[in-house]
Amino acid sequence: MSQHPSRRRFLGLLGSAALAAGCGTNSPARNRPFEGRTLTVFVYSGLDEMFREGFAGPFEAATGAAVEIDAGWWDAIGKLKASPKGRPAYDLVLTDATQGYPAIKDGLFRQIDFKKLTNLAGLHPGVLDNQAAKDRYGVTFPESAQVIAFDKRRAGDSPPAGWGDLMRPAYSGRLALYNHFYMSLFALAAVKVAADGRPGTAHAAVENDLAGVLDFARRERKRVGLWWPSGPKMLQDLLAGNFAAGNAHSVTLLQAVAEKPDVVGVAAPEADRAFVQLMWVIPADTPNADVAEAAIDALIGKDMQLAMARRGAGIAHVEAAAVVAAENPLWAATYPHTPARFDALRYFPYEAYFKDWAGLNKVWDEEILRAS
Amino acid sequence: MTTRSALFPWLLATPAVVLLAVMFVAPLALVVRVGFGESEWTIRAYADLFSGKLLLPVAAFTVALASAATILAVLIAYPVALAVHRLSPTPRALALAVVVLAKLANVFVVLYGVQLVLGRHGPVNAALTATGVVAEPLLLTQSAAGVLVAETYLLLPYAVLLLAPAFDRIDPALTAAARGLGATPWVAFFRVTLPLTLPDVVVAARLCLIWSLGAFVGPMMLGGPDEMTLSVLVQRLGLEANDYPRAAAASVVMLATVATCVGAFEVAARIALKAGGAARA
Repeated sequence: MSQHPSRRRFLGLLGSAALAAGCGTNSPARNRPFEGRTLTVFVYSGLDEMFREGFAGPFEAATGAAVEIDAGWWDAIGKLKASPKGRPAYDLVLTDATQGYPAIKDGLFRQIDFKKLTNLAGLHPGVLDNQAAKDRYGVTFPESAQVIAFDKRRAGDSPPAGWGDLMRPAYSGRLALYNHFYMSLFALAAVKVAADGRPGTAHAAVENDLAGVLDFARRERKRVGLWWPSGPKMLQDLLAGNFAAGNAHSVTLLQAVAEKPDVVGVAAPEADRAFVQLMWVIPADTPNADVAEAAIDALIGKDMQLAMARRGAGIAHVEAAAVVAAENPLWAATYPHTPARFDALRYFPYEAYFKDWAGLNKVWDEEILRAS
Repeated sequence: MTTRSALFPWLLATPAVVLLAVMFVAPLALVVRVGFGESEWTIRAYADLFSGKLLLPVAAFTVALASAATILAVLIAYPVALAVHRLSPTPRALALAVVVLAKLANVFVVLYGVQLVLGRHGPVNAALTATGVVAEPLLLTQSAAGVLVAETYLLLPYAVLLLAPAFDRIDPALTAAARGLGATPWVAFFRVTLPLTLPDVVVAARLCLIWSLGAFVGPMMLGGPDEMTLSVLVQRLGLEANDYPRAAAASVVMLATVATCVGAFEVAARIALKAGGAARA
C-alpha cells in the first residue's frame, strides 16, 4: 500500500477532522492516511508550546499520525549527524540558516516535493527567494526581525529610534549585543552606515566592504558592555537593568513589550531591517518524508501562520500577515504584511557570511567578542 | 587464593567497567577521531586551534577559575563543616539539609537567583550604592567575579558534605590531650585537627577541582565572552559554529588540561599530606 495520500484526499480528511472537531464529536476519522505512524519534529524551544497546541493536535486528528515535538536550540544537527542510517532523530526539523545551509551542504536533508505543498501558493514568493528554497531543500520564512531593545527606565525623553542612535555617548559601555556574529555584525554594520550618513546600506556594506565593517566592529566593541547568549538571557538582563540598549530578536521582544510595558522598549527601524531566516527541512533518510511534507503543508497553512504571528513571530503567508497586522500595530511595524513590504524583505546577509564562515567566526570570537 | 575468589572482584567491577567502556571510552574514541576530520584524516582542527588567539587564554581562564573556586569552596566549607560537626544530632541534620538544599533545585533556578542577587537592582548593588562604595550600580554579572561566585556556590555543598564526616573520625581525646599539655585552642587546631582532616580536605579539593574544570552553566549564565571556559568553547565551536572537528579538538585539549591539573594537584597534595604527617609526628 502506498504511503503517499493524494493531495485532494489529505485536504478532504483535514476538512473532515476540522468538521468533526467543530461538531464536538470525539470519534476518530476513518481512513486517516498516516494512522499508526509517528512524526518527530524538532522546533526551537521558544516555539514548542505553540507547535504542540496549534499544529500537533489538529494534524494528529486529521492524519492519524502521532506527532512528537522535541524542543531544543542548536542540537538538532548534531543529533542528526549521530543518528543511525535510515533512522534519523527527526522526521522534520525547524532550523535557521546558520545551521541549515551547512547541513544541506553536508547532505543531511532531502529535497522537498514542492508540488505537494498546496499552501505554498499563499506565501509571498519573496520569502522563498533564497538558495535553500530555490533548490527545494527548505521552506523558508522570516521568523524574527532584528530590532533595538531598550530600557525605558534609562531611555529618558529620547529613546533610540535608529541604529545610529546606539553611537550616542550615553550608551557607551551600556550596549548589549547578541554574541553570535550573524546578527550582531550586521547590527554593527547598520550602526556604521548610519554613522557614515548612509543608513539603509548595511547589506551592501557587509557584501562589499566586510573588512571595513570588521574594522569598525573592532574599534567600537568597547561600547558593548554585555554580550547576550540567548533571547531569554537578554530579556533577563534587560529587566534587571543590566544594559541600556542593544539588538534583540523581535519574536522575544514583542511578547515582552506586552508583558512589561513600563520597562521594555522596542524600536524597529525601517532602514537596515534584517530577518532571521528559518526553514522547515526534512532529514535525508527519514522513512516519514511523506508525513513531513504533509506537515509542512499544514504548517504553512493560514491557521498555523495566524497562530505563529499572534505569538509574535514573522510569517510568510500574505493573507494571515494582513489579518494580524490589523490586530497588532507593533507586529505590523515589525514584520512584512503588505506585498510592498514583502517585496522589500531582506534576510541577514547569510550568503556573504558563508563565503568565509570559519574565518568570520574566528575574527569575531578572537578580536571582537573578547577584550583580550 | 582460588581462581574463583580471584575473579570475584573483577566480576563486581564488571558493570562499572562496561558502563565506562560504553559511555566514556567509546564516545571519547569517536571524539578523538572527529578531531582529525569528519571524513578524511587531517590535523587542520588542531592547527587552527593552536594557531588562534582563543585557546590559550580560554584554557588559562578555565584553570584559574577552577583553582580559585576550589580554594574558596574548601576554605568556606571547612569552618562550616567544623561548626556542623559540633552540633547535636537534630540541628546537625537540619544544618546539613540546609547545605544540600541548593542542590535540590535545578542549577538554572539557583543561578537565576544568583543573577538577581548580583543584578543592577539586586541587594549587592543596593548595599554598595547605599554605603557609597560605588556611585552607580556595577555590572556584577558578565564578569569573572560573578562566575567565581556562582561556581563557588555550586561547589560548596559537595565540599561541606565531604568534610563534615572528617571531624567525626578524630578521636576527641587527642584534642583534649593537646589542651592538657598546654596547647591553646588555636595550637591544638593547627597541630591536631587540621593535620588529621587534611586527607579529607584533599578529597574535597580534588572533587571540586575536577568539577570546576568542566564549568559550563556558571560561565554561560553569569559570564561574558572574556569568561569563556573550555566547556563553553566546545559548545560554541560545535553547536554554534558547526565546526565539529575544532569542537572535538578542543574537547581533547580540555581532557588534557584536566589530566594535567589533576596530576599537578596530586603532586601538591602528596607534598601537603607528607608535611601534615611530619607535623603530626
